[in-house]
Amino acid sequence: MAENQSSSQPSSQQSSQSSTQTHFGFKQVDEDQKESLVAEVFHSVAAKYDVMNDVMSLGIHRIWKRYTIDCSGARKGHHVLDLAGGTGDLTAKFSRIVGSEGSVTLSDINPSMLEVGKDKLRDMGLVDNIKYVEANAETLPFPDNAFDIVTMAFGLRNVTHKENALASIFRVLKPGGRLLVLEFSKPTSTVLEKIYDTYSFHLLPKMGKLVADDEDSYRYLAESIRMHPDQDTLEKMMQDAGFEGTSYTNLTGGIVALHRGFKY
Amino acid sequence: MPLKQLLSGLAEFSANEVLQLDSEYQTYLQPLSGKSLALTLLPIEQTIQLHFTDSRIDILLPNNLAGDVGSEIDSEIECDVDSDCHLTIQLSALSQLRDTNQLTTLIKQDKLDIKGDLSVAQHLSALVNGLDLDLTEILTHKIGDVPAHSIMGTASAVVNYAKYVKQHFDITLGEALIEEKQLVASPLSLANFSDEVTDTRYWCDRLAARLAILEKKQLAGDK
Repeated sequence: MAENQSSSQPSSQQSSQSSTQTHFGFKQVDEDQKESLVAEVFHSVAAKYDVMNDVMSLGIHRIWKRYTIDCSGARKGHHVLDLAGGTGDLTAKFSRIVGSEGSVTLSDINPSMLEVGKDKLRDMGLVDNIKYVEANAETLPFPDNAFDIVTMAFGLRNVTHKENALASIFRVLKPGGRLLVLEFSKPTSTVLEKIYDTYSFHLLPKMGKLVADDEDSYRYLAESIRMHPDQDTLEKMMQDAGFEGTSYTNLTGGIVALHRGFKY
Repeated sequence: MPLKQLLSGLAEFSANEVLQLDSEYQTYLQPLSGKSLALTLLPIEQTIQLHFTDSRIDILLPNNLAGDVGSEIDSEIECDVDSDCHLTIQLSALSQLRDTNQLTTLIKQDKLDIKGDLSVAQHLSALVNGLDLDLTEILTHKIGDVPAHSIMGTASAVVNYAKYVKQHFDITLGEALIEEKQLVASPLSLANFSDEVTDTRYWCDRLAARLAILEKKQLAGDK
């Protein structure tokens, strides 16, 4: 397991110091506002989300997602919730694995992202075992113990109250089920962190401007990554929510981490 | 970056691209649709899981948690493998898997173990053997007759030359080891040695028989 990371960035914990303020990137905003601000960002990038993901990560996001699926233990007949599933990269693969006996629920708070995902998956011929649900991760509209696996790829950092989301996920997981959170995290090497900072604060917004004509959204992306809890903090949050057997794997030097936890 | 996932991604992409090259690939995929097959390679103990639909193959590496990201991985947590058919095979015998007639031989030699539905493995073998890939024809559709013919002709010449070089190298290396360095016995020396061993065994048997007769005679004289 990776060592704890010291944080030079403003801590996400700061948001809890005020009951009405939270972070939106590096800005402080009212808690009520964050959801709509995040919605605006993703509404703005939805159409070019997949292209930008490939450009920004040089395609490596596909390998991170593949690793997540390999670690999911998904099998025929499983019921999977792909939370904040966006354009459905994980859903497509899960749909083929769980087969007609199982189901995959693609859930996102943003209707634009969900619509892009729905179109993409239908174009791929995946219709039989996929449900689409527009839902807030903090208050999931599913019964208790409903899913064998819940995945959340690059979504948790945008949630206003992460602890509420983790509790909600814990509730909908079946006993024995597992949560996999794939999220940007903190690089384990100082050199890599400096290169990564330069890339994400200087190059990334320009790439966003060039490809998606949306510099601000991609600046928010870089800022929101820095405000997200580091590896150990997130693992602790998962434990506090009730998850057991928690662990994480740093991928690409800690730029991304895959957190796992089980409900027993 | 997880290297295994990169490789499995490339393998999945290549497999599906190759499938698309045969217009009748869905005929072979249809019996496998909805099935899964796990292949554990020994001695590396890497399991590869194939999930089939009527239009593509997905490749997973379910045991990767004990894999490639070193100490950062909690090896105690392993993903289960649950497939319709699970083959465990020695890496050296993998190429023989295409021939279903070899399955019994491989099982007897302890090189192959099959659990679950054998028909999945048979359908996969039929898929691999049944694909009709005429590279010249595929290239012709993409770049035209003349370039396709030239490329395939050049490729064929390169392959033949490589085979000739390999054959020549094998002969040269063999002669160097036997004649010059004398590190390996020649076939004639081996045959000669084998004859001598046979002769020695023959004379030993004769001697043993003669001794037995003499012992009998001595015992009869004592009485």
